[in-house]
Amino acid sequence: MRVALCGNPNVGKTTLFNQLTGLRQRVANFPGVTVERKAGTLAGAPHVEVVDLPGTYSLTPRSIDERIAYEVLVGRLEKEPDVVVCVLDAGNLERNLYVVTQVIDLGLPVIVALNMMDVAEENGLAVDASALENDLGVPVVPITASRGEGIDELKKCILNPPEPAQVYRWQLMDAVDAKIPALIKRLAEEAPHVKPMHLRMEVLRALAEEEALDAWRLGAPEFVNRIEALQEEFAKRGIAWRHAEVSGRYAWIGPIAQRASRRVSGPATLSDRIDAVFTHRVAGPLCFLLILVCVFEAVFSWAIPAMDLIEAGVAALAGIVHSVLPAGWVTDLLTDGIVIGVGNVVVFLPQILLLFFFLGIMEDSGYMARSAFIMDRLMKRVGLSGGSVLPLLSSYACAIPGIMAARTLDSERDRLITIMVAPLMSCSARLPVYTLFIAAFLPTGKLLGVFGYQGLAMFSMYMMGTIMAFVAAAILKRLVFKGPASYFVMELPPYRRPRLRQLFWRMYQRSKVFAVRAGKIILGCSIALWFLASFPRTEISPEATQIEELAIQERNREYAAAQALAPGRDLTVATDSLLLVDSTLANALDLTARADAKYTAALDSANIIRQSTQIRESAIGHLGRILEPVMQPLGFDWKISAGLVSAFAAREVIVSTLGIIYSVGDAEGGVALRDALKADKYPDGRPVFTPLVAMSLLVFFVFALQCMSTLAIARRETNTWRWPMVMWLYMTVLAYLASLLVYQGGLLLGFS
Amino acid sequence: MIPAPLTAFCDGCPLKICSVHGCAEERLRDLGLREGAQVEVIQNSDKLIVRLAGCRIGLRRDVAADIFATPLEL
Ligand SMILES: Nc1nc2c(ncn2[C@@H]2O[C@H](COP(=O)(O)OP(=O)(O)O)[C@@H](O)[C@H]2O)c(=O)[nH]1
Ligand SMILES: [Mg+2]
Repeated sequence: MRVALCGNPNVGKTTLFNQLTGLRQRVANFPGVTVERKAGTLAGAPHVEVVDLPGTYSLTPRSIDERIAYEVLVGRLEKEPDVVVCVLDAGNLERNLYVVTQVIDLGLPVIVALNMMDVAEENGLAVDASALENDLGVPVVPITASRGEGIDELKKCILNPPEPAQVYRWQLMDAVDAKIPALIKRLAEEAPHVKPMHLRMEVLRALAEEEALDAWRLGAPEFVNRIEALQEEFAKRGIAWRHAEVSGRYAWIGPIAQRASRRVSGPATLSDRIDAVFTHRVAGPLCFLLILVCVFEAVFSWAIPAMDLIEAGVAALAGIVHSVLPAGWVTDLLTDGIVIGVGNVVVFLPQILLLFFFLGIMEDSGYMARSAFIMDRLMKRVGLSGGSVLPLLSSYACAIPGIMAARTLDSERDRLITIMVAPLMSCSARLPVYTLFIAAFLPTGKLLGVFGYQGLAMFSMYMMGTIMAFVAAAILKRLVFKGPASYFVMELPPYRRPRLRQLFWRMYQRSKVFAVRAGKIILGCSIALWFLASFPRTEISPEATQIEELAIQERNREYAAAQALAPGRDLTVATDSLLLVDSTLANALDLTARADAKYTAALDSANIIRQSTQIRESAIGHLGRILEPVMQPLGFDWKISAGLVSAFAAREVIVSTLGIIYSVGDAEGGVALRDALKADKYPDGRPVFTPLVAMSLLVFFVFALQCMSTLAIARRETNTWRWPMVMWLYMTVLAYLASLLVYQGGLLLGFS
Repeated sequence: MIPAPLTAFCDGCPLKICSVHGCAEERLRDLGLREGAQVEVIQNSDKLIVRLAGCRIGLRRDVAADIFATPLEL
């Protein structure tokens, strides 16, 4: 048996779902779309499956969520539910009942769960469940989902489901109603697979909604013709056919809602008083800014210890694998490819978790809706609406949660545009790259004695990305995603205290989706990149071998010298008491110790040279050299090009790749790499890195999409490779052109 | 009295909606802002907030300008 929970957004469906199922639940996607499908079994009745449907104001769908709800209810996505529990906000009966009448008309057994009874009471509203039950003709159970009140009664009712209603209780306006039977007959002939129960609903939808009508164009062309003819006829006769269903249903609901709820006292307006500040035209944006600064500060600083811990853990794990398994390329693949590659992703989890935590608080408390509302005026300028604000801001931390947050957007078009421009916001992975090059090549002085040049440069990187995101959004809106201007209407739910349990639960689930799905793709790409950097194998590096041989000779010579100092003594063992009395022995031991240290250092540098030869001769090295002619106009040599290729996996990888190419061991933004970069010269003596080249590279990083995780998540959220590919292309072209402009323009202006 | 757009009413004004137009029309009706509904403007600044049967709805100014209403006779 399957039970579906259905109702308006924010009425407590998910809360009720959690109450009904306890923790026995699974999250997946509905087949073919990215809408979450939450399912679980009823506590105490494992044969009953409960499904939490996306929130919907009506079954005439206008967003992807609403379409899914409809398709599940009519059994198009999966077998239709046996019982539908319609969850209502008791404080807002009239609007909530609309979708109930639609579900009843589908011929499904309906139970009404009258939720938020506590809020209604607080607001001085008396809701009469039995009056509602009489008028609607379906069972009505009053509950308070957040406190678990009424859940048992509801369960009993679910296990003894009512019969579906057989009659339509509301009146369509006569002129329209007269035409319906003929259309139903026509549709039944052309589309015999539609269940008789659903025919009337399908006809009404096709009449009212362009999209629903289009869906029949192939399957039932004659039906579509008739509808269009009818629409014309109605238009001529001045009949408001488009609203026929809406007004018909509301005419029935209105009096029912009025009878069932009675205002006992004046409305409590705590939310209104809070709103007076939070949505004030001056104070509102200020509060928003303040909250944001705090959230980002927290996301950045709180995550650092955990990220350090993960990095250390990953390195330790790689070390353990290295020491346990025999040396060889399989072990290298396991450690350098898989462990480190996956570690590169996992390391973002703390930031993502924190961001989801704060976003969750904002969502549950009701502030999210306000923030969208406040920023709407600004976003309208670029053709977006307030809903895009949070996804875009989240992308400063990481584009992945940003792209995922775009789900809350009402309009599919706005959601796509937001996803497409989110990676232009400078994320935290660009930070190591910015830091390395700005510290190496920009002067440390101050502009007007106040703003440091380096800080200004960092700030302008962020500004450049942000401004470009808005420009790109405006262009996409005009050229690619054409259509009517987006509008902004949004329910502002009352402020509520977030429930921690629910908050953590959702945090956990969202992060799991990120880690598992994106992780799979990352794993594949990391392995591929490792192969590219490690093959073809170059085992021989004459330079390294020579260093090793010299080191061995040197060590032997110094050992001999030490032995000469203390003839006949065993220099491999020494006791402290002996050292005190015998200074020559101490000197000799000191000599051997120093010889050992030198020897190890020499071996290390030989190793690094080997790695760098490996990279130069590997597929990536070759690719870098193939790319060199293309990248030369931007001022990049093959080493930078190879770094850029490796940075396709994740931006910060370029730092360690350059470290390996330049043979400086401990690379992560260290001083050694900085100096090596500055010292590097072309064969003709020109320096490879000049401040201008560094600027050009920085600009490239601002705009280029070098992040597999972003592509993977964009693929997941749009369900096609088309948009991620377009995203990657336009950003790469943008990055190339911008770098070209900077470098060539700089040369023309006489910079070097 | 002749209907006027929502944007023309001041804070705290109880109103009855006469007609709804514009591109957000359908969404507005879904949300319950339809002919005959009783609403109250609770904020009218660079954007509008209206109260409708116990819930608050935020509107962009140009959307609100497409909703026509008359003051409710008390
Ligand atoms: N006071 C009160 N709050 C509730 C009740 N049911 C749900 N909530 C809160 O309403 C908010 C929205 O609930 P949610 O389950 O996410 O709604 P959904 O969008 O329908 O899934 C959450 O913050 C819940 O904690 C209730 O009966 N009383
Ligand atoms: Mg929900």
